Amino acid sequence: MLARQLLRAGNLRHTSRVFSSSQVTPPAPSQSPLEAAYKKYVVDAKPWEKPVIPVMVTEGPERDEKNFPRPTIKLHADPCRFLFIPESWFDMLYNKLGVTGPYTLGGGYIMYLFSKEIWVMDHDLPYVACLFTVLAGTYYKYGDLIARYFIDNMEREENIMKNWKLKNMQAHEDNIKMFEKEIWRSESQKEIFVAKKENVLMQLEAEYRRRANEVYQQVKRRLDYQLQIQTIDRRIAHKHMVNWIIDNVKKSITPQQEKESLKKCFADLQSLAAKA
Amino acid sequence: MGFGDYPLEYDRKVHGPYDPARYYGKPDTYFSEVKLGELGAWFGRRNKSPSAVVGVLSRAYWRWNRRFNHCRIGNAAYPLQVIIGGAIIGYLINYPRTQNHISRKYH
Repeated sequence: MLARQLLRAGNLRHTSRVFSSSQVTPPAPSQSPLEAAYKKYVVDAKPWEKPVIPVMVTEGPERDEKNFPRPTIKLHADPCRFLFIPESWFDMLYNKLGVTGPYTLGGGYIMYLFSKEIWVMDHDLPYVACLFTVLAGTYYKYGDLIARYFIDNMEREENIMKNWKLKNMQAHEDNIKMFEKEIWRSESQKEIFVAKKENVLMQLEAEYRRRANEVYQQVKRRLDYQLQIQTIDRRIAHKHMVNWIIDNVKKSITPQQEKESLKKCFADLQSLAAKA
Repeated sequence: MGFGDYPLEYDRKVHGPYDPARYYGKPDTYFSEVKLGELGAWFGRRNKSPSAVVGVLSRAYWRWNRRFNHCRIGNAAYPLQVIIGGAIIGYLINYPRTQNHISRKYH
């Protein structure tokens, strides 16, 4: 398209052209589909319409952070008594029953179950004692080991995830740096574009001059041809006219005239001789 | 509201990301703060449809998990509660057979 315009300009303009880089402008940047999508979904979209995972969503003005705060992960599990009864149950009963009240309540309830044989004292009951013994023994003998194992596991997995994240962030940063460098490099394309355009214009100028020279040569050849034709014509006509005149003169001379002229010549010669 | 849907009361714009441990309806008095005399009325106000019951259990499960399991540093409570709760459920399942071993008729 551009080349065609340039060709047309070169064909139309027969005066010498001015090479200025001011008339050379690179094509205007157009919006790519990716940029359009980014604008639509990230820049222009309302916060709750953004298609991202919930944690990354920024809330709108309707969001009720006070009554519905984001759930958080606790550092420690809730404290317990006897290793498994939540402390909060004792706290709940503290106002009514005091410190020892909950123990009395629980123990009394178990006594009630035994007393009325709701919890039946059958041959399976020793297993309950065995269960608690085994659990307590495991806890006191291997509890630290088990806790260490789980904490180490957790830290290892956490480190893996953290390193993965850091690695990816580093990779993205490297990518950004690389692309920024590429953008910086592509700035030179503008100058290269100008240079190429000037190159094309110079080629067009050279072609124009070559053609003009060819036209000049052809015209000159034709004119030279015409000149030569005229010269030859004139020469032939001249020659012919001279011959014709001489022939006619010769024809017009009669024998009488010849004799008279001979006599005259003799007379002239004699006079000349007499003088000498 | 079918299977796998959010509760009807849940509104993303107001409530933010969905929290499975939270009740999004209009909160009533807590069960632990209900007076004995109002207990009947309190139960009368409850929604007793199967989906509501499942919702209650699901929320309780998530709250329990969050208190004892989904924390950074845990303790022995979670496995012990699982083991002891399982023992109690096993006892209740076997209770019809256990009843045959009751030694006294009158207490």
